[in-house]
Amino acid sequence: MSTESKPRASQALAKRLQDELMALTMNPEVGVSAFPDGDTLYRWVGTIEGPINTAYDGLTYKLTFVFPSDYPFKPPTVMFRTPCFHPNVSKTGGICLDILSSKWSAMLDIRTILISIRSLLAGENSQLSGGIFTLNDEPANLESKNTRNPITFSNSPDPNINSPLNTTAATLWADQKEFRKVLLEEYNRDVRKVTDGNS
Amino acid sequence: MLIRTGLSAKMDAASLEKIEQHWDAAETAFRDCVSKGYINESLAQHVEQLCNHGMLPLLEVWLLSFSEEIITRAMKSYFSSTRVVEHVLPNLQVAAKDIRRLLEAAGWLRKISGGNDEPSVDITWSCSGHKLDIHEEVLKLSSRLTTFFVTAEFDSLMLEIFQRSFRAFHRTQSSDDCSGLVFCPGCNAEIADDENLCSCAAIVREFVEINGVIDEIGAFPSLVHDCVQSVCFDLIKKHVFETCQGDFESKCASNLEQWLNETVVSWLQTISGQTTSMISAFKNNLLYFLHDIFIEFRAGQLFDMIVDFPDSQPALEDLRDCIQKVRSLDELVTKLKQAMTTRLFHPGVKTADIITAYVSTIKALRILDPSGFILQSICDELSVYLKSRDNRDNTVRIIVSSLTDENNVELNAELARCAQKAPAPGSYLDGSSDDESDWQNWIPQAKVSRIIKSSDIITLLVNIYGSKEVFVEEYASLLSGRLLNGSSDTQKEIMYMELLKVRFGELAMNNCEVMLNDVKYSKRLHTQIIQEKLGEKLQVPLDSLIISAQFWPELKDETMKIPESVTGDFEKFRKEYEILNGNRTVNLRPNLGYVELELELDDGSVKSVKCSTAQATLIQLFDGRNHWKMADIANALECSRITVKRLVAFWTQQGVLAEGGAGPDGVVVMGSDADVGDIENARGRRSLVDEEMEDDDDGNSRPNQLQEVRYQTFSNFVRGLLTNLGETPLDRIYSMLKMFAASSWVDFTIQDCKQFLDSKVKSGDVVYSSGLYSLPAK
Repeated sequence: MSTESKPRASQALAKRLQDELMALTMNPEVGVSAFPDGDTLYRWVGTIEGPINTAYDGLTYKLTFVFPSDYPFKPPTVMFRTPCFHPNVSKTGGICLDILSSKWSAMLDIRTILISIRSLLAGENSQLSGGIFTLNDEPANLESKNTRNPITFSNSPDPNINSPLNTTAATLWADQKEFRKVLLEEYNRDVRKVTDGNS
Repeated sequence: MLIRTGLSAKMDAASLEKIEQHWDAAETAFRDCVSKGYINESLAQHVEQLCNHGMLPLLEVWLLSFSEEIITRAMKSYFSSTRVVEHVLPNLQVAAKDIRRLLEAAGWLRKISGGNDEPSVDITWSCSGHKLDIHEEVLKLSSRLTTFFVTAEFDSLMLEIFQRSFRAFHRTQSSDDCSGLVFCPGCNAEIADDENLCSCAAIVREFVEINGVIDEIGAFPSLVHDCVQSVCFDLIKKHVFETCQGDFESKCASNLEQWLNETVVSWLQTISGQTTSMISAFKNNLLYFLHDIFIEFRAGQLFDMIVDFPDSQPALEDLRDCIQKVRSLDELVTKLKQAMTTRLFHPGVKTADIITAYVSTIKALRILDPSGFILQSICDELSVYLKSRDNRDNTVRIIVSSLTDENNVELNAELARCAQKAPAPGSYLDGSSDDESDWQNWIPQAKVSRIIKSSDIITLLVNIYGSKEVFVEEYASLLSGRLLNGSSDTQKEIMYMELLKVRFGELAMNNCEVMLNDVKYSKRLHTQIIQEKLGEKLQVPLDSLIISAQFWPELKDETMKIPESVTGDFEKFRKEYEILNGNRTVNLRPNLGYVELELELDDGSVKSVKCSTAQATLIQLFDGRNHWKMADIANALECSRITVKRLVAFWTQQGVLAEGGAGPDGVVVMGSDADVGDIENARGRRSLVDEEMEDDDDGNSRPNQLQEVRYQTFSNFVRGLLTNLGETPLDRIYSMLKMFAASSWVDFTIQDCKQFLDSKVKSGDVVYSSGLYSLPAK
């Protein structure tokens, strides 16, 4: 049975990812973007631009997405590839975000993950994303309305200062000015390291 | 010597001696006969004696070899001495004298030996049983030797003589009054006053004389044949070219034949006098040549004949008759193909014209060649050209639209005609009945496919693609375009569909039938919902077309924010629809359909426009605001700038809007000649007076729109790709695009990809450096 159902399942997954790619590419989201990382659809690279008027303004972060074979019923593994100085991002790039673990829902997709992570950087609540969805709302298309309006997407992606992955960042978070200074130092060092390593 | 030894076995020395004497005497007599021109009486005696001993064959052989000697000498001296036209006749007479005497001698010998025809004593000498006609043999010998010695120089002399004499002959035969001419057309002599100066008659006389002599010595075929032939051929060629130029509306082959009989053949009879048997053979030859020339001439014009088709029918029939008399069709096919290649198969010719030519070709060639051989060869070529996407990508569309276009008389009528005589099942019977009734005249059939032979024009056109599916598809998309555009007459569409059903079958036309039913159903709903229930509640007069999306060709989907007034009205409509139809619903497809607008411009003038919903939506933005930035329009309508650009272009064409600047900051202003720098001055209001919307439906993706969509998709994908993956080489971009974005573009090649990226580099959206593409730094 498994031999038969497996290709069908992977076909469905490929179709879903292809559709997501098409949707994301044809209706790009401000500040975020993602694309398959090579010849397979199951690994993607994401790009997030730091939200304007926050400590991350002007910085660009790369992420990796790895999709499990039972996506969208299980969340993808998302990691920062560019080291990110943030209370909820570990040194190795792990992200502490509820929708990527316990609060995952099959209604979510790459677009919503990217937006959530971006607003996590901004330390904002869900207002931002809500606004974006209204913008892309298509009155004539009920179907797309449903898929694009995630019902579960009401949790605030506010940084969780209480149980941080990066304690230095968590302590600095309160003072955004000081935080920005340290962040830029970290970013410049890390990015240089990455580019040096690349070249 | 040989003779003597041969005979010695049976004869004694005395009789041998006697025979030898007779032989010597006979030999001398023959020589005298040739050199002096009289025959010694005693010769008969000697010959008789020799014959009695069975030596006639030997004598004949000797005479032949003697003749060879004489003729060779005569001809050699004749050809070497004859250098000018004037010498031809005198020299010929000298040369002919010897030959003539020789012939006399041979004739005499024949007479003598003919008398002593009894089987000779000695069987060995007549055992061959073969009786030589010595006179005939000498003639043949003369003919052969002349051929051998004749020179090119002499040939041209003869040709000159012949041409001259032909002109002269014409002059003497015709009754034309040429008193007005200074020179006689025959002999070129001045004929101003004195008729006697004309030497035509003399020329002809001299010519006849020459021919007489030549014929007499048996040299006619070798000396004259070529000349006669080339004179006649030149003449025929000239005549054909003169008389048949560009006239396709009458038959001329029979006229030509008559002309040939009247002039050329009668001239031949005159010149050749008694040798009529040769003339009749020669006449056939000439007739063949006439047809040959005619066909060759017409072959070059065949394409023009096809173009002129219904008018050129007589010429085609004419040609057909000639072809049947003369030969295969290869040359016609080659020439026609050449003409088609140079005149039809180049990008400057419209597809519609090619198809018209195709139809004419089919009709014309059916007349020209009932076997279908030419048609098959030509059709192949045409089909390949029309089918090739590089050359023509709109063939199907043109064919289908002309089938259902009343203005296109040919194809439209063809469609109606084929419906009257239902698809012929009898074509199978034809073959067998032919065989039975007229078996004596049976000829093998040309190797031609049945389709070419028996099907009508539409079938042939459809067969360009080998299947009817493409056509049905194209018809569906054409039909959907017409229905959505509101420009169709449903009654007529139903008629066409029925006609096409006969051709393509009920099943194939199923979708189209549903489409037409949708239209009918929508009309009913219109009455039920809009007229009876909504009526006054609507803000804009609304007309609706409900389509069953599954059966319609794929419709273009383009998102755009359309005015609230319309969406509001549509919601009301949807509610009513859902009430009427249980658990079914309708979706609005605003980008399809059309709007009838009345624009009141600043200067007070009113303009009625029928345009697409998107175009109407755009112009509504200008209700109350006179200038917009491109980017702002795109934001307001929630669509891409490319779309905005296209929409603006429409209104610019209409003279309602004007465009200034480029890029996202480009400005669009009201008024056709408004100076962009002077936007502040362009003031005033314009109002939408009346708006009628048609909802739900298509604008089927025409190629340029398709390309635009494709371009947009690719732009987005490349941006996404480069944003996330950084610098990327061409082959990687290509494989990614092919995998993720080009599913609808089957033959997407790396060249296409490169071309696309290059255009992006040119526009500054992408940077190319050392083999890698990337996004420009911000």
